[in-house]
Amino acid sequence: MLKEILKMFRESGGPLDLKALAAKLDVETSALEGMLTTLVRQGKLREVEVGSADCRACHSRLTCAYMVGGVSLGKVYELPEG
Amino acid sequence: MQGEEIIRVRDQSLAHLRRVHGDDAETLIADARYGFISGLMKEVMTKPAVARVTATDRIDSFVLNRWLGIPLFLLILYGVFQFTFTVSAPLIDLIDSGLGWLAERVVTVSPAWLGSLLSDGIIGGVGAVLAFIPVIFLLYIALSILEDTGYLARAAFVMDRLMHKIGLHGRSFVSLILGFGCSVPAIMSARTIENPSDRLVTIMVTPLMSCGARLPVYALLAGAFFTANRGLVVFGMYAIGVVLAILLAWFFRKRLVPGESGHFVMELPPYRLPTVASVAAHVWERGWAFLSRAGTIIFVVVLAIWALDYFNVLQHIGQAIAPIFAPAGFGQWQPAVALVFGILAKETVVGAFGTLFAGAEGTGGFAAVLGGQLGWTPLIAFAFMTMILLYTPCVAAIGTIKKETGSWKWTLFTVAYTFALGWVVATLIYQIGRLFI
Repeated sequence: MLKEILKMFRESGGPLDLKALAAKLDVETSALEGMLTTLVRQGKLREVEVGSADCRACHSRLTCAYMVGGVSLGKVYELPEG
Repeated sequence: MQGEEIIRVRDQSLAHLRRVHGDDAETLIADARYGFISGLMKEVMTKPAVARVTATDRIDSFVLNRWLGIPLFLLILYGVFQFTFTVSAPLIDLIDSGLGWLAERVVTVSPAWLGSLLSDGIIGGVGAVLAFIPVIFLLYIALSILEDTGYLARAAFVMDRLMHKIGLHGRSFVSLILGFGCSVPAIMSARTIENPSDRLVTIMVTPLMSCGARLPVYALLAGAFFTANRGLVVFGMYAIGVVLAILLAWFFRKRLVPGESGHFVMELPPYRLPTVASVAAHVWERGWAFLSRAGTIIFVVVLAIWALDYFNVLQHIGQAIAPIFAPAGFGQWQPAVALVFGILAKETVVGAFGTLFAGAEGTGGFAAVLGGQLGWTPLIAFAFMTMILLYTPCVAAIGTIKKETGSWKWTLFTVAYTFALGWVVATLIYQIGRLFI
């Protein structure tokens, strides 16, 4: 099952959303999340929070900040480099 | 002795598993466990004949649709600008009238230089920027609603698919969409892209996105020259930025930093109804940042512009630079000066116009003075807006590019290529447009 997930990552041909991957593998989304967590723990996948940084702590905030509180656009899983 | 034997047998077993199955024991055990659970669930669970479809699923069937996703994103973006400009127009006029009334009162203050500083410098310059507060706040209301509902994440995902199809790292678009707010945090967000080539390309094209600081410039010129279609024209600026960022990213990936891009799986948040408190908090936070800039960097820059203009220095500087922009139609010293100061912060272009054309009240006033005094037409205004969109990023963004790439070579390359791109595109628009208009 885990190998199948990694194979899908390599052969997907583009980004997938979690639900679409669960449907392809014919597993529940919650079960797939557990499998992805296992793969992340083993270092076979990376888990990344995507969005912009919270600028409130930045020293140059007054000259740059528009998105001062940061923006969260969700979480992605990807194959590590190399 | 027995312990060593156990370790030897363990190592032999691990080597055997790796040889036969091509993986380590931990993965094989986890794989077998999940395989067993999955098989067991299929045997003991009876799924309903019709799968439960949530509201999120129903909306996603349109929003994430392969064919509808991108047109829907563009339609929503267009709707955002129509909403922003339709609602803000009367408010801007109201603020403009108030500032005009105030400028008339202070212009008589003596000594004369103080009257000029207050009316032309502070009210004309900083006031011209502050007049666009309604546009900024309304845009942030719209973006905050899109963010809080969970749509912004989906917009990034839909565009990611397009990016990937043309050989780019899908996640680049996350940074680009964040660039609608400010280039600085958007450039910083590329840190999470592991592949150095993908990261570099994302950083180099992010400044092409229309940040919030460019919006007052668009609002001023679109209001002055495209009154009936200002929402459409500003939407066009954002669309040009997106298209050029994707094309340039593709070109850089092929020519400058070639390599393979990886795939990913995104966990999209469920749709939520935004709360008034959450949207208000976001809008206030971002709006306050705009006001802070108006009171600090824009204030200082506008004072510098006023002082240089008051002592007749600015015109000489502008006249030396202006011929560069003549092929693009705006070869006069005032827009040249505005472009130079715009590198400090893009909103200062409006502040510069406000100071240099003191007395021009509201967008109608600017249309009269830019059209009458400089001979600007809607075509020249559009070419100038394109230059504002594409040319050299602001100093804060340049500093961030240097910090994130750790390279002066790529930083200076970005500064140079964006300027050249802005100049070429503005010149093409003006020269080709002249043939038809």
